[in-house]
Amino acid sequence: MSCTIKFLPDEKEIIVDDKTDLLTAAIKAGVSIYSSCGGAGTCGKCKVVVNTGEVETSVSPFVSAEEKAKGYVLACKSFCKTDLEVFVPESSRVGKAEILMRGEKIFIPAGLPAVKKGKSAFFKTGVAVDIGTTTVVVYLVDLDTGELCARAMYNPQVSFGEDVITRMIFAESEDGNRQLHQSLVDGINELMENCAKEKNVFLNNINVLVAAGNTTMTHTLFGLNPSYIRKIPYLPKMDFLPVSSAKKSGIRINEDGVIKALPSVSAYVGGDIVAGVVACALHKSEDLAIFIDLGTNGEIVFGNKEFLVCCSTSAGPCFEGGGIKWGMRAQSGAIESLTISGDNISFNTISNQKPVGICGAGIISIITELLLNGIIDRSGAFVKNSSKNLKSGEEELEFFITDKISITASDIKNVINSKGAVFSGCDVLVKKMGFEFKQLSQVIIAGGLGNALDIKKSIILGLLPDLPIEKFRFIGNASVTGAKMCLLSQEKFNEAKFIAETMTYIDLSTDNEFMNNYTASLFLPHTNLRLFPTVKNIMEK
Amino acid sequence: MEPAIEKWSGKVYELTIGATKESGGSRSKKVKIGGMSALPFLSFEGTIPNPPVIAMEVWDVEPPDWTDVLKNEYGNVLNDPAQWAKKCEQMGCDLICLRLESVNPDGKNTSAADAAKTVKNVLSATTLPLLIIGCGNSEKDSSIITEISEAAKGENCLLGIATKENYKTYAAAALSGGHSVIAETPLDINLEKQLNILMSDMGFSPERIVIHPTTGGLGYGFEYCYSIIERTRLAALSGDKMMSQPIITFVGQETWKTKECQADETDMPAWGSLKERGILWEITTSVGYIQSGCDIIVVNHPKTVKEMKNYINGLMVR
Repeated sequence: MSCTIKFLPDEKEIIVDDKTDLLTAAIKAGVSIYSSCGGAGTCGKCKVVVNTGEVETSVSPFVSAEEKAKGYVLACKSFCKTDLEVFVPESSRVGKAEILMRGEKIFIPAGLPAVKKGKSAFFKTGVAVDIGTTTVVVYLVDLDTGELCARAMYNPQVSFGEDVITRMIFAESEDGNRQLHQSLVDGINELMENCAKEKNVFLNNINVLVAAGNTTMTHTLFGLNPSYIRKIPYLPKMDFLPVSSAKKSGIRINEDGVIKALPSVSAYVGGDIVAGVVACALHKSEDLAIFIDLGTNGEIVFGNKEFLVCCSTSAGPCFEGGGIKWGMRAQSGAIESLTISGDNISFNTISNQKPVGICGAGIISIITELLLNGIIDRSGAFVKNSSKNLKSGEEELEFFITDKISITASDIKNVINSKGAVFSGCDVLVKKMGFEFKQLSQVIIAGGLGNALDIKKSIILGLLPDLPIEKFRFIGNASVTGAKMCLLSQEKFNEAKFIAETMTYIDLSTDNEFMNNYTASLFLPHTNLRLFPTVKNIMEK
Repeated sequence: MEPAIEKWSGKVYELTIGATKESGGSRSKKVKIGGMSALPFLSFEGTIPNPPVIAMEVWDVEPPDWTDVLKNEYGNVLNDPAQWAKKCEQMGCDLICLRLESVNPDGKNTSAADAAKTVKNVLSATTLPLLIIGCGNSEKDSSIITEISEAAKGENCLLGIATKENYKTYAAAALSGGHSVIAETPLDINLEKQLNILMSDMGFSPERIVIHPTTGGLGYGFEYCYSIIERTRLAALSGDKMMSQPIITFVGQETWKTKECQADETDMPAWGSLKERGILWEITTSVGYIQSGCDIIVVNHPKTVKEMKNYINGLMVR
């Protein structure tokens, strides 16, 4: 039996059979719905409202009685019995239009070496892409003038799962791998078309696209099944991908154009990190430096022109706003810094808009302020009666920043786990090579936490090593910068290959030293205060 | 050739348990633990002012799961904590460890006032310094500890067992009653240190804390416990003030529940006499923990007390 389903507010229709769940139907119809769990019914994010028609659905703890009465169902667990009209509420929609395109600063970091016009063998216009697990950023680059147009969106694969593991599992299902590939390619095409329209460029005149993404994303761009990455012995199908043709991969530039991806180092250190190293020129640095990418996975590279070692810490998405009750990406209305004095709270939001959530930089700022004002103790637990703004929320204690927006006890726990993973990753990497933090000449930080990353507060939190502030450099999205450099210069692309070939990967999951270090760093700023002398002084005051 | 001898920069905090008449209590003696600037019994490295001490457990209800090997030693005092404590004193231990099992909500669920009465009875029955621990239910224990602390005020007891969940109540109770606190964490040196920091951050003196690292019996992860205790002690001797507390282990509690101490001779003929097996197991475990750096061991069998006294004395003389 077939039914027609109409999705609102997109007004998109599709005919499906009664064995197709509404989530799958929505994806087929081109409607993006959130689904962290990839349709397993365990995340509760794909709620939709059935306006007219009948569905067969199963009981879910995520749908309250009140919601049920209003017609809410989980899209992934509902099947049509008649023709339907389904409304996708704001909270379930993957926001496409309003994403993180804020200021050039995120994309063109200051102080990076200017790209020398190498012998670029390509034509007049090219495309550089950063494929993140959460977001996709596309750069249209004029190869002569370097003129730019940039567009970003949430990675459309979010509908198949929020993290790479869920997507790898999805890739194992029938047709799963093709769908991952297709949705990503569609997303990139859409962004390219928007850019091209704005700059009056014909996509047909574009002959090259360079992509930087983590190993899983690179696989899905090329249509390779990434599912082996999560299985012992955790090896990708390929680290170095051959040049692919646009026609074959479905990317809508000139069909004879080429698609190149920056090579990966290992299953969990991908081309985005290699691009980051190219962007900050760590591989040419005379002095020792460390590069930290605070993305979903907190990858770290340490070294100089003589050696490079790297690791990946499972930091989780909290610095990108994931896994935090009111967390969000760095976009308009995100709280990015905050100060507390007594019961008074003052904060700044991005673009000075009405606050709608908290971005990574804001989360760091808030927790540090809570610690310095004695509202949380050094283990991150709330101190009862320490502030008027500390109240019982739905399930636990929450610190209220506005009437609505709060930070919860479990948010703080999440952040401590993440910062602990990143810090101990750095610590282990530096110590393994026989060095100390004080020997570092630079700490380079990349990621989409927002421009207002407060280094001082990040040190107090214990996320970054206690070094003089002038040693830190925040370079925003280094992955897309690196991809752009490799697009403009074959020389840079060759450097990327060399970096990927020579960088040593250290697996932290089997490292005893890391585990020991990790429990020590699950404290504010750290169990061992001697590692944080300046923070010790502040705390003693 | 000069022998290479380790010189340590730090030392373990010295803690006194019990108060005599002069210091406002009613105990016949004070027991001092810790204070060493050397690894266990390596007196050539530094000074070891106090030997490890032995506490015996006294329950305020008859222990339901004890084997006959233990029960037979105590006879009819098992229903009477005051008499039981007196008997332990005669058996030669240094401290009494009173376990207030009766407050357990899954058991008798007695009130704080009842428990406080027991504490007073035991205090008047024995002259030894006291360790007082709850039933292990974190919520219930924190609800009674203030009253317990008040009941034993001035006797300078060691109260337990504080965890990350209830340490604030314990620290406040101990402060008001003038007692010290046992701080328990899962077996991990960083967690130990974190709890000590949290307690000192709220104004509780780090010198009044005893670390309970949560240990296992011999054959049940003992090696790991040994190395964690050893690392704790090494941190203390290297000058880490938040790791410089004395250490306690509940050897009896971990020993007598093992199958080696419970299995019947007819089931396990190759294991030898049941009566000797349990005692040997407790003694061997005790020796291991004393060697790793424990300052208080809490045991159940009188023979263990006797053997361990001899063993410790022998090592201290050398």
